[in-house]
Amino acid sequence: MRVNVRFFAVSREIAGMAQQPHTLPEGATLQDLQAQLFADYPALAAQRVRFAVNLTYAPLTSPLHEGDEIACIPPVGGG
Amino acid sequence: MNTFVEITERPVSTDEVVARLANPANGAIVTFIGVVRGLTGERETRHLEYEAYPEMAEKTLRQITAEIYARWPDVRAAAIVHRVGRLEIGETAVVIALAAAHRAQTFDALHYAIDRIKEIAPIWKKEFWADGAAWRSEH
Repeated sequence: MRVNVRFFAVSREIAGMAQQPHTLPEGATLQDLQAQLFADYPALAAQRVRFAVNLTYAPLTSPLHEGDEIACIPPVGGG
Repeated sequence: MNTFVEITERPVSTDEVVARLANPANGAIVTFIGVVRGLTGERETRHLEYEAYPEMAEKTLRQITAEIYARWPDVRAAAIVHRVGRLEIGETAVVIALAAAHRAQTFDALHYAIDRIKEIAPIWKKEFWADGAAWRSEH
């Protein structure tokens, strides 16, 4: 399956891009994607990133599906 | 409930945000205005850059207003506008306005709103100083 990963703030700076398509095996979870991202960008592992799937915060056990939009969300600080 | 939320790159006018709540049933409107601070302790900030995940941030702001209506039923309307992009010292970063028939519940609800935004809204700020820059979070 193909998913789109969006990066923000420090994660965008680490990845060097705002978004990137990823191909994952069927049945993959957010945990699998996180492992792929941490392997591609080791500095990401040092950040306390959370993930959102299709605009909602999601646990690492979440199954992913074709076309999902996954966001890499470092600690937020609006206001 | 009358709800308005927006992530914008344009300057934020508090009057325009408050005007979103106009309703003859309102007897109290409270506002929180978050502005860019130029001094943190001894350290001087030159400017800030805000970034958001706009679609999710607007969804999250809407969720926060729903939480407020559930917890403080007298609050009947809410408008939250958060700016992104480069902001100079003193500029408005966020305006939260809540309206109710009576004032009693509005202050606690307003405090909750800004704390909750800082906790869960996918919005980030980067501080720029004379000698560097860093992303800032309280969490």
